Amino acid sequence: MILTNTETVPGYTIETSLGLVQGTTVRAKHVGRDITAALKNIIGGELGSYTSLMSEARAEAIERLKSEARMLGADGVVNIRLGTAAISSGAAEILAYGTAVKLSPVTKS
Amino acid sequence: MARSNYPGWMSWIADWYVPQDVPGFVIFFGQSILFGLSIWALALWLVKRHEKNLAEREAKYRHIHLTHMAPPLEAASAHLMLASVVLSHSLSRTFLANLKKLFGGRIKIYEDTINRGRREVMMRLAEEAHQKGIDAVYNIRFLTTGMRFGQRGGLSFEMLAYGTAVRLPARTGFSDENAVTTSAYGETIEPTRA
Repeated sequence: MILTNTETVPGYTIETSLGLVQGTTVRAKHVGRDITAALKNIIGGELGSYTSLMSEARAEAIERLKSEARMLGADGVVNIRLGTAAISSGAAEILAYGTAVKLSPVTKS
Repeated sequence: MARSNYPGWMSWIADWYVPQDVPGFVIFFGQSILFGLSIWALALWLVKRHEKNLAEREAKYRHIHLTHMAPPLEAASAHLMLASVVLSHSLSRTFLANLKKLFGGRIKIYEDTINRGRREVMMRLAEEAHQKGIDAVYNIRFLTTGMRFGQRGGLSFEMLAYGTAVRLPARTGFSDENAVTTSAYGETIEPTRA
């Protein structure tokens, strides 16, 4: 499966559009459990555990997007957009959406 | 005890260097200011170190083409690439930003953090591209979210950059002076870097 955030896929032409597909997840982490994050909240800087939390969540949202596209029989998802919303203290909703398409490779002449 | 009206840890520290006849409130305010100043200095040093590190990496990954435009049609492969970072503020900077919020206007502390985070995610994209042998990342989009971790935590920002990573058919494309590629929208992309 080819995922891009552009309208076209280089080297392929879009045969049919199969419609909108999306994947979403809500994740949270208890701040008291992570001592380094609590220390980083005093002196500032990167909260490494939250960076990895967010990228794991984003990978899962994209995985759900892919499985939805697979069910439609798509070869790829184009024009993917991502969204994040902090829905409460320490919890974030992550959304990925795009258009599932059927692709055919361009034959070089 | 004359020094019972302020937190215990403060008196433990004060006992090392402050005479016994100094009143409690002097120690309380004095040590609070010292504590705040030391956190401010430490945080400032960390920010400066990060900026120096970013400048080094920006010079190192100059050859990776990071752009907002659509990829050329003749690219050999394309896939989605993400990079993100969560940055928090120090207690002193959170305090100063909250103070500024009372008056409104430009909050430079937040601007600086967001800009630093955006440079950081750009460099993470470039690093990943460099490791995977990718020539360019096209159609980069940015996203910023503010979030609070915990009840008393300051405002943290998550910066995200995502784009389409592309391998160009001729890896020398961007170093060749005569190479001109065409984007999906038909405009020509002149090589910008030697």
